[in-house]
Amino acid sequence: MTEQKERELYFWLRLIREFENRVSALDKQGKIQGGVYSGKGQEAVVVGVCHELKADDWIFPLHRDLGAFLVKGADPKRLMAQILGKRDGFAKGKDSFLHGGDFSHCIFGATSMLGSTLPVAVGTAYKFKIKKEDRVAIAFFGEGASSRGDVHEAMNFAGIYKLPVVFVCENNFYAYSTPNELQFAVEDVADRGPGYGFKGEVCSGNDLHSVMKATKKALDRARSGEGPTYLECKTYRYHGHSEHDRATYRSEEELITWESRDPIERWEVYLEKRKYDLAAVKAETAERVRKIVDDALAFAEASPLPEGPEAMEDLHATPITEE
Amino acid sequence: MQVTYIQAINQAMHEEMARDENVLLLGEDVGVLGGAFKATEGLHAKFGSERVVDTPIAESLIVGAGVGLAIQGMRPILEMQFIDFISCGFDQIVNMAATLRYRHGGQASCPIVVRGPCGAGVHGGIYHSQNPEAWFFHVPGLKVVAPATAYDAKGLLKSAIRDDDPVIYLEHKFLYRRIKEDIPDTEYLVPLGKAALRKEGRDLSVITYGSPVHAVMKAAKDMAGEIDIEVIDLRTILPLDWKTIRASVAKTGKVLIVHEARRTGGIGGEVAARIAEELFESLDGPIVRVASKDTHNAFATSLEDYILPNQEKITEAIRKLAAY
Amino acid sequence: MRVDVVMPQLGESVVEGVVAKWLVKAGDAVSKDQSLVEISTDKVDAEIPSPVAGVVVEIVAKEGETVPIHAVIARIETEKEAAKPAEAPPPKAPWDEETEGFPGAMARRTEPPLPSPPRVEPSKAPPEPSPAEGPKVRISPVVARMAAEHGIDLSGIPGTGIDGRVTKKDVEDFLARRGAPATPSPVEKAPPAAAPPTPRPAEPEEDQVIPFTPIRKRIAEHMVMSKRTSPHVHTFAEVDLHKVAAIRAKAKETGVSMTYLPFVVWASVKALREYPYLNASVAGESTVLKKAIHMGIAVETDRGLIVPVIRDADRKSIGELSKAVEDFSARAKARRILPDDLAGGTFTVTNPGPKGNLFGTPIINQPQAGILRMGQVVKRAVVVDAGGEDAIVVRPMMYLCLGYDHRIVDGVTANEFLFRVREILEAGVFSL
Repeated sequence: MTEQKERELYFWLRLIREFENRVSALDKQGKIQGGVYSGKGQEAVVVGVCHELKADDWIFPLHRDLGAFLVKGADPKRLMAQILGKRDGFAKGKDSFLHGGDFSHCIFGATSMLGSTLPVAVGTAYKFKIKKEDRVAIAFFGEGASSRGDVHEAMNFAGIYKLPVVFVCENNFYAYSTPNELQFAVEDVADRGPGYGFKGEVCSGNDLHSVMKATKKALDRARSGEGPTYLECKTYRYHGHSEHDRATYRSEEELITWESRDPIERWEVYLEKRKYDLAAVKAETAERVRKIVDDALAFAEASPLPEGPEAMEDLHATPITEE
Repeated sequence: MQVTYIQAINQAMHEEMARDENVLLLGEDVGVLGGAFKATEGLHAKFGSERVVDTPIAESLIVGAGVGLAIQGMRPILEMQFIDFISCGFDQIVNMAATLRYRHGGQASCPIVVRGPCGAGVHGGIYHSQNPEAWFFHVPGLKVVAPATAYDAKGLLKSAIRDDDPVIYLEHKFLYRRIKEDIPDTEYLVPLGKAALRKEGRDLSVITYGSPVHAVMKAAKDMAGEIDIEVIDLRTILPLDWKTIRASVAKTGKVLIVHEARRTGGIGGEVAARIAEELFESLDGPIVRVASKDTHNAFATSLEDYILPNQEKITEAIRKLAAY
Repeated sequence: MRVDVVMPQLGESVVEGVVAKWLVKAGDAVSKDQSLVEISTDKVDAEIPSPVAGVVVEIVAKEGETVPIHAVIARIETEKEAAKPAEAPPPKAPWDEETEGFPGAMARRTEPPLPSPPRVEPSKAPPEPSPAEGPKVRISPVVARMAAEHGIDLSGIPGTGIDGRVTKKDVEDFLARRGAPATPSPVEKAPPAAAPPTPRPAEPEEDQVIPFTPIRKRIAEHMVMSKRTSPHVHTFAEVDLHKVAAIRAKAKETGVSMTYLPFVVWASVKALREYPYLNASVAGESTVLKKAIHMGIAVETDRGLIVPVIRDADRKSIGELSKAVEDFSARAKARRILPDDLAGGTFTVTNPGPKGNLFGTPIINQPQAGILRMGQVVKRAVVVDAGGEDAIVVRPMMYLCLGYDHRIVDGVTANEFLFRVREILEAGVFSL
């Protein structure tokens, strides 16, 4: 890996963490209405999966994956405006948090019907295949979403047609308050991959190297026509399901265990062992990301709320007006 | 040329798929078999497996993948083998397709057509007889069409495929092979959002769509000497053609709404409410509806006869309203 | 027993099938379920099994023939007797909750019901308002709007809707007859049919402006239109009513009170039969001689003049006419004259009453051809023939004035008609 790449990866990790922290703080300041879903602690997954994607690959992120937006190239200013529900957000204020995607960067908006974006990702991958385009679709979902029928229907189809799609399951052990043992009867949901005719792989979601390695194999499979991969990344969210969830269903001990596996700190250990001047890197990165997030927030705060009548816009591409 | 209603639908798909290589078809048994009713006959042989996809039994996937194709510039036709099964894809329609453009602030559109055989009168029982338009009538972002003639079936399907928004296309299975019509040999389209004034009249307006259009037209003909009936075939249910409805109500002052879907919560209620609201001073009598009884589409013939609107029920309702 | 073999419906949208190939012929013995024929539809091909065992007696549909579903394609004679119609199962006794409790197994297992919460007595509902006397008057929104826009008194329009409802078409027809446009021009704003503002107390120095009520407006318009339409000529007769007076007096002894009006009506009706041109109307360039005689009786009400109609007055006895007149008076006072009452008059008699003065020249009630006005009955000294000699006697005398439409009624006809009315009244015989 080149130095540039290693620094870049560190930058993404730090940017996401900074953004996540800021969003959480804004929420506590009452500046964000509606649900806020923190992905803090899961940065390595989105960075590892998205950093090697091409501009015209499509991602279908989870409500928790604002990091995916950033790594895929979305403008942090517009992302912040989106989160604040302003007119300069991707949804122009029409839907919340990450439900508005950024089509110019091939990012699809999340929905609350978890897993419902998987059939969409599969349809997109089907188009790539029949048009013989060298593009892949990355469908993110939580391990809780894996229980939904849409996930089964999508994977089944993708397996039949060996579609260029990677199914990335962010298993953070809790779907809201529901632990894995109440969500499914297996240890690794990736075991279902072979049930659909494709490879299932488990990786350590807090270890950026592990995620990158598994992702590369999955992307190679997709691009070469071998078909999908069920890529399960074991990770952990530091905050509750939403910012309003105190997550008392988890133990302090468990949280601490995972905090000790923090993906950013691990990458810092790696950089140190690679003989980078870690203090300098940390400092300059900190300043860089802070500035980006400050600018994003300033932009978002200056952006107006949409006006009432805008609620009637963007329903149709070819509207039929009453005369 | 003379075609049946289902042949007209088949022709529309053939023509649009030949015209635009981005049009493709997904559904159960649509390819090799040509469809459970043969609506998609010949398409697989002509356009191949990549464009005519025999999917697994997975309505949610069919619609969701349709959305995924649509955002990539394709124009998928998504068949529900019986429109009753649209309930299995309901979430993808109302929460994915219908919201796509809106929640992305207008960045993209969703040009899908979800089509399938609807309607009763064929002893289909509960799951082969439904008329689900009311569910989708309530969802912004969608368009809903229901042709009653072979001419409209072809023209509306072509328009729906070319339309950039998600269209629910309800083809009435009772009409599939029962109607034969002469349609033009040259290409034509029927625009969405425009009702058809099937017959002009002065005494009473009947607003209807789908299979009952034919019973209404027969009633109008049979009663020609007695009552001068105006017949509006809505053709597009969402959005409604209020210009045509308004003109007719202002003229006759009496409105009968006929639809095969159930009465309570059927779209007739919305039509009646809005007429009462906006055209109150044009009304010379109560707004009346003839619709299926508020029960499930039972199987036995005797039950079906009881439930569904028919010639007699329509005629009686017309007479009674005309006499008011 | 003969059993029909029919074309089955091989598929929900299939309406017909083709007889591809017969596997049996007439005269063949067949067993139950044996294949009889190959059928082809555009969805599927199939062999049709025999519904019964027996002998094929008739092949109805030919090979290659297209047959609608359910049509007979062959007939088979079986040995079995015609099956008796299944007996209708005996009606199940309705399940009685009191005696049977919950049905089936639950009956034995249910606990005694929990005590029900204390009943909340429904508050005494206010008594239903008693239905208004007389038939419901229905006014639909469009009719109300048109009445307001054109200042029409709906009670003056015959209604063809249910219960005599005035429909939109009735209003349109009325307006067409009246000569006003059926639909108001879009520029016109509908004047509200509100009660006229109370006039300010009369100040001698100022003029008083009283806006027309709808009924006044109608009357004003009608009067102008009538004079404009018909060239009015009036002729007068003087009638000796002593014989009528005698009949009235006699009736009064038996407790029956009659005015002079029904007698005048009776006489007019008789005369109209002899002079049909007075019971007519003008249609374009034709005279329409009306078959029926529907006599309009002008009645003054507190809101203005209305003319209820006695239908087929020629078929009514003097007693019936008298009752009809009384009924109209009473109902007019109570404002219960119906639109039906005002429809279809062919001639009008008007009686201004005790303060009506000697005579007057009434305006024809369009679209009629004539109108007869009674004057005050005054005792006069008149000259009569008493056994060949002139004598002066005191008689109750009344002037009758006939107004007529000179487009279709000439002087001779009018005068002869009026003369005849007088004759009948003076003859004093009022039986059918």
